Amino acid sequence: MGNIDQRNHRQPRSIEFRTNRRRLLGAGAAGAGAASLLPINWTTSVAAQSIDSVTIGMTQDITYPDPAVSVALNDLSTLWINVYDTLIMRDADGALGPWLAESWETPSPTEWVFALRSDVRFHNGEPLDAEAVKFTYERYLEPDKPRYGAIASIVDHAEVIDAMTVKLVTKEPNGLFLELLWEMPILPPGYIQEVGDDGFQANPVGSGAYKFVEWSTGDRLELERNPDYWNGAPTIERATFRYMPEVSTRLAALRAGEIDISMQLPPDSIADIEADDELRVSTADSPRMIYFVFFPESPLGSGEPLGELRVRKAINHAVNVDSIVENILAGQATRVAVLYAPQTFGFDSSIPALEYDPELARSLLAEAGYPDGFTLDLDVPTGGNPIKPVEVGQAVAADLEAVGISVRMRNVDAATYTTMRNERNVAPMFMWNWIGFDGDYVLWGNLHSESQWFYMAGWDDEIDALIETERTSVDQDERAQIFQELQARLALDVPHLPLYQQRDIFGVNERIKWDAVTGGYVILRNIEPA
Amino acid sequence: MRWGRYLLLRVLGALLVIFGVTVAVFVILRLSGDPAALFMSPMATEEEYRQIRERMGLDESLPVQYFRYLSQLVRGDFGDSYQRSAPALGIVLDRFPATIHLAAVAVVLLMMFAIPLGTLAAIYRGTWIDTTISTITLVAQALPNFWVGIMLVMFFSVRLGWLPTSGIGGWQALVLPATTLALQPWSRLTRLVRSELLEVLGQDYIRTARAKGLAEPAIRRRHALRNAAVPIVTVIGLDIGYLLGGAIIVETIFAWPGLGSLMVQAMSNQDFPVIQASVVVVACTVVILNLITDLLYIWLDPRIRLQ
Repeated sequence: MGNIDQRNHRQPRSIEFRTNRRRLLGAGAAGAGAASLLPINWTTSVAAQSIDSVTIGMTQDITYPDPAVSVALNDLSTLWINVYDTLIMRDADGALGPWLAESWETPSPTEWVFALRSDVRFHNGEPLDAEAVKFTYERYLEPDKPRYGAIASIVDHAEVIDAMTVKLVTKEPNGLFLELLWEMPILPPGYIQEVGDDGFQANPVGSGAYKFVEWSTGDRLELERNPDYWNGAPTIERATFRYMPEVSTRLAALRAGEIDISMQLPPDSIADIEADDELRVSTADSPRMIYFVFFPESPLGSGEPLGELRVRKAINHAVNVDSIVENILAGQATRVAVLYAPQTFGFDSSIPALEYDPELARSLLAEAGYPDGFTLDLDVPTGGNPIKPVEVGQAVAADLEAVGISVRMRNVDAATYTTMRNERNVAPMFMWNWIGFDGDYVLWGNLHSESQWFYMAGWDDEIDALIETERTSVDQDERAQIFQELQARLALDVPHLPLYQQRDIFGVNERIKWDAVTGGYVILRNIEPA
Repeated sequence: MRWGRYLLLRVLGALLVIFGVTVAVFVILRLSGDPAALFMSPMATEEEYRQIRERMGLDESLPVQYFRYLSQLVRGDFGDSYQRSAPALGIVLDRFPATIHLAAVAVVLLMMFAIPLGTLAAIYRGTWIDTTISTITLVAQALPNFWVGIMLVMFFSVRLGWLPTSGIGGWQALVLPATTLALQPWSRLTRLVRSELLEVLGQDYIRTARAKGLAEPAIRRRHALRNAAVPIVTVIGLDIGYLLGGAIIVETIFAWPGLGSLMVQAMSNQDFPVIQASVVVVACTVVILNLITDLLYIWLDPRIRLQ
């Protein structure tokens, strides 16, 4: 501890000390500095928003702005419905009416002649006329476009009759042609020819109430109002759709005032939202139905009893659907009697649901030769479109157990589930869901033997014949009649355990006036300040 | 010479790992699902289903598919995303920077808090300081990070309104996701720093330094931390890899548009090209980071150099 030692130690020590600390601090600062310099949008989203703009939280990201490439329900509900126009429009209950087309007629079963409005312009100034419609359809019918297959099987070609009159010719008489127009918006010829397909994808232009501003993938879609919109300039200046896949995130953002509308909330969140003075809940019935399909030929083997009509009826009587709706879905669903929703064209409201009656279920099972019940495999997905599918499945299984049917349940993730179903490698009783504004959408897919998705216990070729007739008839009364016959068949053959149609639940900030519509679309031009 | 050979061996090993990853991902994906199904409209017929599978190349045998996949891979072509018909690699690389940004901030937070606190816990071992820090790290490690994330949002965003609930936008938006992400690595690292330092501080050369008259802070900086550095650097390197590849939960909760949330989306859509490209990109990054970490040892620890 001599002076010399201390001196020697002090100098190097202090240099080391400074250098090391400097190095540490330097590294930390460099790291933080480098990290903060990465290109990131610096505008903060914490500040409260003026009424000039609204933000909506959506559950899926935009996939394709270009309608010739694919139809995704989320794209349609957020982007297409605001940026594009279609020839026809749905009202709040889902019924179709005039829009770009003021009127139409069918001179022959395969020809549809539309008279267009004359005051519509695209966002780039081009007029929307018969030429534009023809161009749009020729583009949909280009073989290299992904949607070609689906569209070409319906539409043959388009013809210009005069400046504002266009004829669409279908391959066969098609009863639900108007429905299909909903997914085929009209696009600007000049613009697309100028920028090409890729340019259009990057910056889509339409004739709708809102113009596309920007889409940063996985983050948000920005739209701004079109002041020259033919149906009147919308009130809200800017709209942002933010991608928020997680329910808790959407709820938190709604409560913090970061978003004004949240799409697709679960029933459990209703109480929390109603408790908050600044928020309210808005719901709309969805034509989406949740049901179980009976598949007696299932490779799992336990489906044989389901070949018996009485067993299928027994299962329907055994399940207390009202209780499921009340307790699992907080009342936010509407029971359906057969696989057909009230919003679907041709609905027959006279068909009763099979009542909850476990005693009757037991006696039916005994009659059918299963007095002690039997063992049944059951499949449910863990996600996808149904709300709380696993809980619902468990409730159904419990009700079946109560009448003597012993249930083996599998929970499978949604994507794998779809694959299994397509490969017909599912349980004899499996949960499925379907949506459709026209009876054909629902029935063809489920009941026609040529459908990729076909499953129907009790099928015979009268079903195919009926469906083909309604498809190719343009007489809507005739079609409605056929739909009623098909619903009667469903009530007769009981190929499903129909549960309910879901309700789309939205959380809304009280500062705006907006109500949910059937279909779950967020139509920006209908949003007003409160 | 020895360096060159060492480096070469490590690089070859890295390539082998990446190759193995591509095989594993390819096989597992193909065996687990069928993306064609998700592309069919409700009106699809058997014929259309077959056409879609053909277009995606899914109708061929597994080895044929793998061969085609591999030959494209070496050219850097991961194919087009099924969802968006844009090159999968481009989509992945577009989203990667957001994840890197988040991970970088998390790593800075990690080091800023773990090293000092771990050191304190070691120095004051047995006192209330040590006990407090150890308890906090234990609790932090036990809490699931998605729960912590949601709780932080409920408190700081909804209740207090100090920070945004989600999304990208300014430094405020980084705080909660980076904290959530860093929490568990932080607890592990703090405990590691503590135990490594304790071990080192018990060594003979520390006693010698003290006997020489070196003051404590100098001992810690010059001798203790430096010697404890190797395992600490290893763990930080591994953690960066974990943060880059595993920020999936945090990105989903906070709607952070990074690679993690892209992977979740791609998985639920069975978008094979994007899943494959994501996994390969993350694997490459982790492998490169490990390589760098290994090289760092050589700089940090002269004993390794001499082997």
